[in-house]
Formats: sequence, structure tokens, C-alpha cells
Amino acid sequence: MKKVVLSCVLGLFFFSLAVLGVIGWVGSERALHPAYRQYEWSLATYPDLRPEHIQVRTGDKVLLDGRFFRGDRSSLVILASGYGDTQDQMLSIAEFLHQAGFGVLTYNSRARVPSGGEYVTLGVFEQQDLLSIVGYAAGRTDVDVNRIGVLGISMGGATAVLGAAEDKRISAVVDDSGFSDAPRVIAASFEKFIHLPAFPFAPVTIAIANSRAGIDVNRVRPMDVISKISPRPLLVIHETGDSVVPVDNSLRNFAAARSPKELWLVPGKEHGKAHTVAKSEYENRVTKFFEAAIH
Amino acid sequence: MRELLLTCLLAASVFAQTGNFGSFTNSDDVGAPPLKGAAEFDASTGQYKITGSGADIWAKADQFHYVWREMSGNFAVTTTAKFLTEGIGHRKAVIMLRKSLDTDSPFVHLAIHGDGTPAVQFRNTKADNTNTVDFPIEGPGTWKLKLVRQGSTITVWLAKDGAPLRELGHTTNQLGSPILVGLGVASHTQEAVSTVLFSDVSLEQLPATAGTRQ
Repeated sequence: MKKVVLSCVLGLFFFSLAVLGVIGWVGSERALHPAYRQYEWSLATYPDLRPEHIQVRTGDKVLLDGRFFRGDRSSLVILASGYGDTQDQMLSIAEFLHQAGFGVLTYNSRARVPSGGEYVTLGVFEQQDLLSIVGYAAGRTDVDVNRIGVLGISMGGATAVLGAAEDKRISAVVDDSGFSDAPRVIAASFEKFIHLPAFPFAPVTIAIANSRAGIDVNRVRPMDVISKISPRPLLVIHETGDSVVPVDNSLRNFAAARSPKELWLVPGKEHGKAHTVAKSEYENRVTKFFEAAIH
Repeated sequence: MRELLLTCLLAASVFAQTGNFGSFTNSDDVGAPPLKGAAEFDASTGQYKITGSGADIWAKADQFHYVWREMSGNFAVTTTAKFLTEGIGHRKAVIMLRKSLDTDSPFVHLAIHGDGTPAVQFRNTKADNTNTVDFPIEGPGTWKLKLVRQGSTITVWLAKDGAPLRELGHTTNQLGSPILVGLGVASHTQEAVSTVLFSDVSLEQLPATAGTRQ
């Protein structure tokens, strides 16, 4: 009788482990290969934006696909898109910056076709993508290497902070709706992105995702390096009612940053939609910020 | 004798206005804006009409009109502010804590802009850049502002058009003591002035916080 009970308990344990492992694997698959976000617009929606198609190879041999919009001046703003997004996300921002005379560069980070790469890594490899793009831009004759700024939304915002902390060629940063540290934002948004309860699946999913991609996503902590951006200017933007990446993330980033820094809190309830909910104010602030920083 | 009198008058015009400024002791322009500012205190109503010019209170140097007194330790400042003149959206009415009257002095202020954008702005060290936290625009109106310093923590409250005060947030700074505490107005342009009516002004010295030094 004891043996039967022991066998049942062991069986239940291994079955639970197997279920957890399978669901963790499925979760990691969703995390590393998020669905492509669909937009109501495309490049054709912006006839004034005529890109030069570019391809940039990263240090680890991933080929990135991007667009370069030549500006009236040699200052350039690189736009980094969010988790699950492609460069199309940034078209409306590219439009007003280009109208203001800036050169603009957008790109698909890795694992967003037609760019190569296997995994979306919440900033681990995406910061390398950004630095490769900066290196490419700095080598262009129509770009002033001393006048390169980056604007990123969500994961792109975190990537912009991480990249600028590493690379002094980035002269100004706009972090729109970025997160302060990956563990906290994963915990907060796990159910939203992965569609599984955070516990017990989040730690298992993260462990499996880390193992599959060869990363440690827990070490993606923009708030730990954001102070390195100073004395280059930083503008942080966040919707106060953001439920995906709560505004606390930007408050932590802002508190950790050094002068000169600006935080603009926008009265919205969505994530990464500040440009939509406060269009003219957004365009005015971002344009003025880059004009002051990299004109 | 006439020369002496003239010299005294000229000297008086060069230095800050001192007189009856109610809760405050002095009034003067900071940063020498081309259009001079002024302050009037109505003892019967307790209201201050402050007119200021100046490019801005921003970046590495300021231009504005300031009415202040020296204070140390913990305190609370409350006022109601209403713009009496039209102007640029980014004109400012502020409760300001300032280290000195130098144009590039460290400061912290709670500002309400002409377009109704509340902001907490600060320059941490002399000649450093200004930093800002801009809150959602609420549109023009009559604003009640409150700023409390306790130790190195500064907490700010705001209310529009008679609504109850709500806490906007807090920040920390190392301005120390003594500092200049007062009300300021900047028109955001050197070519025009802005006038703001400050009413229900109160300055309250608060008890020392245990274990804090200022």
C-alpha cells in the first residue's frame, strides 16, 4: 500500500514537473518569438517619407534591415521600436522629425523579419543591434557623428538607454515608455504578453528562455546605467496610466539619471502611445529636445 | 549734500527693493532681464501682484522676477496663483527655493505654466543644467500651490480652480540652509512681461526633523 502511495506521489510530482516544463517552453517560445504587432499604417501612408533601404551587419553577424531618411541637416535621430514591433511602428515619429529637417533612421531589430536573428531578447541583444546601427550611421558622410540622437519606445526606450550608456556617439536620448529593469517588468506584464499566470510560470519561462537564447534577461537593468548618459541630455516620457509598463519604471529611471534630464508625464492609459494621445505636444517637445541637443 | 542724496538714491535703485512685502523681505530681478519686473503687496488683502520678464528659469541661467525671504530648516509655502496677463504658454509662476540670487544658482521650484502645465524643476549645482518633471497639462485656471521642505525632501501639492489639494510627488535636494524662499514670475521672453496675482500666501516654519541637518 505504501509503495502504491509513493508511486502516486512520485508520479504526480514528475507529471507536474513535465507540465510546468512544457508550459514554460511554450511561454519561452512566446517570449522569444512575440507575435508581430499589426499597424493601421505602412510606409505608403507617408508619401513624403522616401527611404533609402539599408542593411547593417551586427558584431555577431546578424543582418539588420532598415530605412534611412535623409534630412535637410546632418543631424540624425535613430528610432528604436518596441517589443513585438517593427520599424513601421515608428513611421509617424519619423515623419515629424523628418519634416523638422532631421535625418531619420529606422530598423527592424533582430528576429523581426526581414532582419535576421533568432530571438527577441528584451534588450540583451537589441542594444548590440542599436550600437551596430549607430556605427553604421557614424560612417555615413551625410551624418554628423557628433549629432546622433536616439528615440526608443518601450523595449526600444530601454535599448536606447542601454546603448547610450555604452556609446558616447549617442548625443541625446528620448526614452518613451521604457522599463527600469527587466525582472520587474516581466513580473508585471507576464500575463499580458505570455498569456499565462505569472506564478509559477514566469520564473520557469524566464529560465528556459535564458537557456535557449544564451542570455540572462535579469541583468537588463536600464536604471543601473542610465546615469552614464549624463552630461548628454535625456528626455523620459511615460503615460501615467500605463498598465503594461507602469509609470513607476520611468520614475525610477528619472530618479537614477543625472542632469540634464526631463520627465514628461502624459495623461494616457495605454502603453507607448504618448504620441497618439498628445500628438502636437509630443511633436513639439521631442523636436525642441533634439533641436537643442543635436541641431 | 545733493550729491550725497543722489548717490544714495542711485544706490537704492541698484540694489533689491526692500519694503513691505508681507511674508517676504525683498523683491528683485534675477539675471537682469531687459524689462524690469516689480512686486506690489496689498496689506489689506494679503495679495501680491508680481510682474516679471525674462527668457526663462531654465537651462544654465535664469531671468525672472523674485520676491523672497531667507529661511532655514523645515517649512511649508502655500499660495494661490492666477495669471493676469496673456502671454507665451511657457510663462511661469513659481514657488521657489533658491540658494542665491546668482543667475545660475541651484534651485527647486514648483511651477505652473501659463498653459496649465504643472512642473517640478531643479538645478542641483551652480551653473548646471535645469531638470524638469512635467505633469499632464490641465489648461489655464487659478492654481493653488503648496511646497513643503522637510529635511532634504521636498513634497509638492497642486489644485485647480478650488479643487482639494492633491500631492503631485516629492523630490530630494541638498540646498541646505539658509536659503531664499519665495515667489517668482518669468514671461519666457525678454520682450514682454507677465503679471501674476498671488493670494492666500502662507509661510509656515515647521519643526525640525529628527536626525536631519540643514
